Amino acid sequence: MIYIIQTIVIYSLTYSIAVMGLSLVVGYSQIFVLSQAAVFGVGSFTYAVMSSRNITSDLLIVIPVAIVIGGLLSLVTGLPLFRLGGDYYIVASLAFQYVIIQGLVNWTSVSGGPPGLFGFSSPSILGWNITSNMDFIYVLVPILVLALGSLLWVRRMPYGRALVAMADDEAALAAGGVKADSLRVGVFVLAGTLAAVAGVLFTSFLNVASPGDYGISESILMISMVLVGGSRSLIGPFIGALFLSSLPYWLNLVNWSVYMTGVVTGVLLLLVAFFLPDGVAGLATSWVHRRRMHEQSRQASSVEPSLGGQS
Amino acid sequence: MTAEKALVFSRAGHVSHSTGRDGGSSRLVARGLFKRFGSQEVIAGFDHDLEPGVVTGLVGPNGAGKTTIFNLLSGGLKPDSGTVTFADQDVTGRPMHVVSRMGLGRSFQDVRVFPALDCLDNCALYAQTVRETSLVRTLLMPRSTARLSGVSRQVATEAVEFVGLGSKKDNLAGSLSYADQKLLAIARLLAIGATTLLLDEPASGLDRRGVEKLMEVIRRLRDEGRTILLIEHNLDVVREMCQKVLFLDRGRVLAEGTPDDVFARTELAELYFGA
Ligand SMILES: Nc1ncnc2c1ncn2[C@@H]1O[C@H](COP(=O)(O)OP(=O)(O)O)[C@@H](O)[C@H]1O
Ligand SMILES: [Mg+2]
Repeated sequence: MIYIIQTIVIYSLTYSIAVMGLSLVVGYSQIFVLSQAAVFGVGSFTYAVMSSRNITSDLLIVIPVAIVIGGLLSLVTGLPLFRLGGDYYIVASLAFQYVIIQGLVNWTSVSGGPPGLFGFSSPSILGWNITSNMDFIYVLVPILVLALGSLLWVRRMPYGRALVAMADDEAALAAGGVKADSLRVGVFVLAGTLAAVAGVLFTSFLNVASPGDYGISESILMISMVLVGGSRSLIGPFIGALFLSSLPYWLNLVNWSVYMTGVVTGVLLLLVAFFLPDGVAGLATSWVHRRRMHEQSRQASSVEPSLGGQS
Repeated sequence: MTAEKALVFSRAGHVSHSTGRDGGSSRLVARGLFKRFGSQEVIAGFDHDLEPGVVTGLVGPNGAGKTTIFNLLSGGLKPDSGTVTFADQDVTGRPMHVVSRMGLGRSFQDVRVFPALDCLDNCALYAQTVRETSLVRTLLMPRSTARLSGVSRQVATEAVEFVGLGSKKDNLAGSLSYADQKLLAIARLLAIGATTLLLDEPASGLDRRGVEKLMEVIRRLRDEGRTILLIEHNLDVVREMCQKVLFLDRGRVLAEGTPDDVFARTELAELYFGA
């Protein structure tokens, strides 16, 4: 039992890191990205290749390498955002998803072909071998905190303010001297980088990397986590990742087939689309926001008349 | 007050005083602008040297092409022919975010403040520099970004106070009255350090008191030596604010002169009120 809980925690934390940035992309740039699993997969293979070739299994080296590779890959796949508007980018990202994963499958000398790579050494940090589930949790938590802290920081700074403005009105943003395209590419690269880091962690935990695990259905699962949890909020991806990554367990618990996972996810997405456009986390934030608006307009209307003579 | 005073908003001394942000060298000049949408010729030869330090009115019936002229002047919209120069640089069809950073600010007929940001952030967004807006710098140089952000907030505070919204600076723009949103839209242009302001119907939809407040703000901007091009339907406002008026109809300037001269011409009054 404890083993199952630990596994659920590890999956949830890993997927949270993988989709955290994506929620900003979906929420503020209003574009749907169907290539997140490909970058996640590239992060996985970064670890798999480095570890299986005995280059190193030290996460302090592999993670920065994955950040560079994932970042560059996202930059290249994000460039069309300069030319393609929201809806068209879905198609472009779908193309990238296929090209990257098919590329991996066919590049057998590196990826091991369709079966992938497996049976490499366990990860380490400065000589400390990460073997037990608890070890993994100890590694995941600080990385997650760091990632979350960075995103919170970005949101608080002028960049984040510009993102909020971009979601509302791009022309008014341009009139303020800020170019929406660069903002969009920026969050996109950030999202990809985090997915690559998550990929390293995922594979170092599973001890196997196979291209088939990072296909389009995985990309759909990842964007579903964002939509169910709630885009724009940083707590949303946690909720989505916790629930959807552990869905097979819950289904198993009530004796449903794991093949029902897709059906349940689909039904959830429909429910969210109809009833909770801002996801589960959106329920809370929209309530707070409405309160604030309400409060302020009440203040404004009660203050206005008495100010009349003074100013 | 002189143009010097207007530089208070230009990042409080962080920008050197010789960057051409004064009315003198930031001249806005339009030469032979033509623009058609489909088969409709919307702008049919617009030529104008905007007089520095002066409020110029742009009047004319609905659909005359006034807003389109703003779009051509402020970047983003490419004319079919003709050129726009600002501060001695060709800015014809350059992206709006580039032109606005040169000190040419424009407001929108439909206001377009950011409802989810408070007043201060609406202005700080317009005040923020390119460096502050870099994601790489935000992550790798957090201290310097925070410091720059503080400067922008300072500039924003001055801008918000200038238009008299100081007491509401923490209120979400979406919760402001329409009149206050219109003032906020002008404050944003001050925050970006605009020396030339294109204001699209700032008085429309305001009650008497709102119009008074607005005129007070425009008067002070004029006294600071800023250059203003004002689209306005309220002829009282035009008469009081503008030293000069252009009368536009179907994309052509039909008359140009002092408000009294232009409004005295009966054929224009007919065009304006008869249509
Ligand atoms: N983007 C556009 N596409 C097509 N027609 C446009 C566009 N912008 C403006 N127009 C047309 O150009 C004419 C002038 O519009 P506009 O400049 O908004 O007038 P004004 O501001 O003087 O009321 C109108 O007939 C309008 O329908
Ligand atoms: Mg108009």
